[in-house]
Amino acid sequence: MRESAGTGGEPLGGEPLVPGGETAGAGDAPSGLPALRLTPNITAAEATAVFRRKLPGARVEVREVFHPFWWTVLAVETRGLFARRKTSESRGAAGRRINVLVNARSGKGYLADFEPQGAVVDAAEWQQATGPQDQTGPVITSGEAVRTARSLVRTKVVKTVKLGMDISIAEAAAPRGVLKPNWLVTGSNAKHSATILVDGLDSSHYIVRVAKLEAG
Amino acid sequence: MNIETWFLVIYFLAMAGIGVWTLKIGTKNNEGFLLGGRSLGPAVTALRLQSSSMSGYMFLGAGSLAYTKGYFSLWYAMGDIGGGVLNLSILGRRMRKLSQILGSLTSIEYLEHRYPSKWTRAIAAPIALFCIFFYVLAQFIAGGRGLEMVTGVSYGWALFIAVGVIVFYTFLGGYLAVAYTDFVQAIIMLIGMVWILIGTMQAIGGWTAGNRAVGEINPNLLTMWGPDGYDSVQWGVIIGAVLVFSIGYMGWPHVNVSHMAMKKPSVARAASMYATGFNLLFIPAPYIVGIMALIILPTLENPELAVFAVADTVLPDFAVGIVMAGIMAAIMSTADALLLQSGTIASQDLMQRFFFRNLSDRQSVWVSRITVLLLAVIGYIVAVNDPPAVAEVVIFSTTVLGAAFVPVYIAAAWWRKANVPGAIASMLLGTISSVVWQLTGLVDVTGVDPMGIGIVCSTLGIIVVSLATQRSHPVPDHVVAAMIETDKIGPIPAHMLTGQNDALAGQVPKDA
Repeated sequence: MRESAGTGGEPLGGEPLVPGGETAGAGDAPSGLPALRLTPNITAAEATAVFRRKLPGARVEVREVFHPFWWTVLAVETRGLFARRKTSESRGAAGRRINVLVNARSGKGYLADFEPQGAVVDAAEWQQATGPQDQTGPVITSGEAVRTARSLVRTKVVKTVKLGMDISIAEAAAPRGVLKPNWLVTGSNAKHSATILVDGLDSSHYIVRVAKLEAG
Repeated sequence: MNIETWFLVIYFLAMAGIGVWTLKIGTKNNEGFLLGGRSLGPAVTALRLQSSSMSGYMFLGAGSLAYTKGYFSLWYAMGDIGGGVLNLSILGRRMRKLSQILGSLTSIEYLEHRYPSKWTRAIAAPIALFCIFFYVLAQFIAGGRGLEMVTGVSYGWALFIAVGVIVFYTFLGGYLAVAYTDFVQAIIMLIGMVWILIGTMQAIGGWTAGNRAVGEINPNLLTMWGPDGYDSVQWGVIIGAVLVFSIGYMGWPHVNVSHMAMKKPSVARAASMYATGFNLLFIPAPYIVGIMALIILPTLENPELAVFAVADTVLPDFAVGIVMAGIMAAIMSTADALLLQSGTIASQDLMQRFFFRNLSDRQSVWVSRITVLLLAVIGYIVAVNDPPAVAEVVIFSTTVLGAAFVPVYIAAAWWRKANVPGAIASMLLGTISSVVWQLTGLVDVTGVDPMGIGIVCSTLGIIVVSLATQRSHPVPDHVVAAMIETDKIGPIPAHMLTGQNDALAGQVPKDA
């Protein structure tokens, strides 16, 4: 999810705002509803193309990987000093249901302009994704994710409404785990070898490592 | 120290303060130093573009032209008024988007990314550096002359102070310093120029009375055909006069870099409104003051000092200080943009590209700074020893810049068939034809301005050579894809961006 384009939403990511390290261990199950595995918008071939733009002519190996996020839906209401209460579906960012995805590892949150959809996964798969063997760092709790999401949304709303408006933010649904797809592409051409992580939703990329080959 | 000097000192300190402030917020990396982190809104974009285009020429060259040629000089003003909006409309949005897709930080690097060959940059960078040096030289001379007149110190010292202040804040803060000081300076120069105009009108008893008096000196000065009347009109020169400051803008790398620093492509639309408003208020003023100077100071020895001298005559002392700050603002805002651009060309487009590929961001910024210092020293030595006329230097250097770069910048954004050989042919033909035309005196023989000839040659060059070499040198697929995306309104798809998405760092699997 690139910060400025693609899945959109205004990125207001930041560090988890909750002090005290209220972290959960591996397998902190999503409360209530089972987790979802999002369907990638980007195919393996497109991920390969992203890699080859960096390393032309490379031979590559592509692997689909998933990263755990907390999906929180918040309903925002604003009220002017003399105006009637504006609720969902009314104008502007301040009158909408806002989807927020919070990285279950880093605690960084992103406003999403899409409604996450995908296949339901069982608790074991969610536990595996959040387990210590797969990704680095502790898993944050759903409670922390909600607080991060609320903070993000508040910042977003404050930027778009008039000073003096009353803002209320409420959870529209319980936080739910989602597994976000990415493509891990590894490959090399005559001069370099590299590993690049390609976002499965918007095809932005992150260079994990790159090395110059001796022969090159 | 007189009151005018005090105003100037306060002004210099304020500008230096902005430089120090932006040093803290704007130079974290190359994108910060060179493009202000691509963070500028419409007002700053527009006024920065306009103030850096206007230069000391508006106070020395424009006044001088008007003083010697009367209303004929308004041909230049007409080009100038439309130049900003033309530039933003034709290049603004597209250049912003394309430069981000192609990952370009400098306006010369942008040309190389669009026309992918090291020869594009190897030819463009020296041409730009050469012209920019002469242009900046003119600004130094103008700054020195202005300070000399206001403070009474000798020209050498005045020049030294002007160059020192310009270098000081360009040296410290990079693009953000230049952008914000240019923004402030655009406002100051507008106030200053309008003030002189009002003072002039009061002194001559209104525009009608002024025109009547000018008509008594030479009725031809009241026409657009020059002091010798319609029979002596050289249409080629008139066309060149309109072209040099209208479409000529689009070939100036130090001006075009404004497009790349916009917060988002749509900023161009609002910026063109600001630019037009500014131009309508500002540009006619120095020309009209220059014409009316014929009545106020009929025996002026150096016509280049017409606007300065009128200001000194018609305004009260404290106002002269403020107005002089405005004049210095025009000079300094152009000089700092030019200096920064030349530093950028030296570090990014020459040093890093051709000599030290592993130059770090920090080293690269220092190369820029040293280049700025070096050019300032050379410029000072030339300007202090044998200063040429400001208008001549400005018109020559901007003519060559326009002739060399206007077609390649326009075709880069609009024509998918424009390829490397076409771009190289265009730049070479534009430069050579305009320089040869100027130096061999063909202007006087043919009555055709070098800008006109240069633009025709470079335009034909890019069209004919691009079409002839489509098979041997097709435009690369990724450039075509970027141009197709540039046609669309809206955010750039993530996969087209050259830069990586750092937010993905937190999603890297442990076993990657």
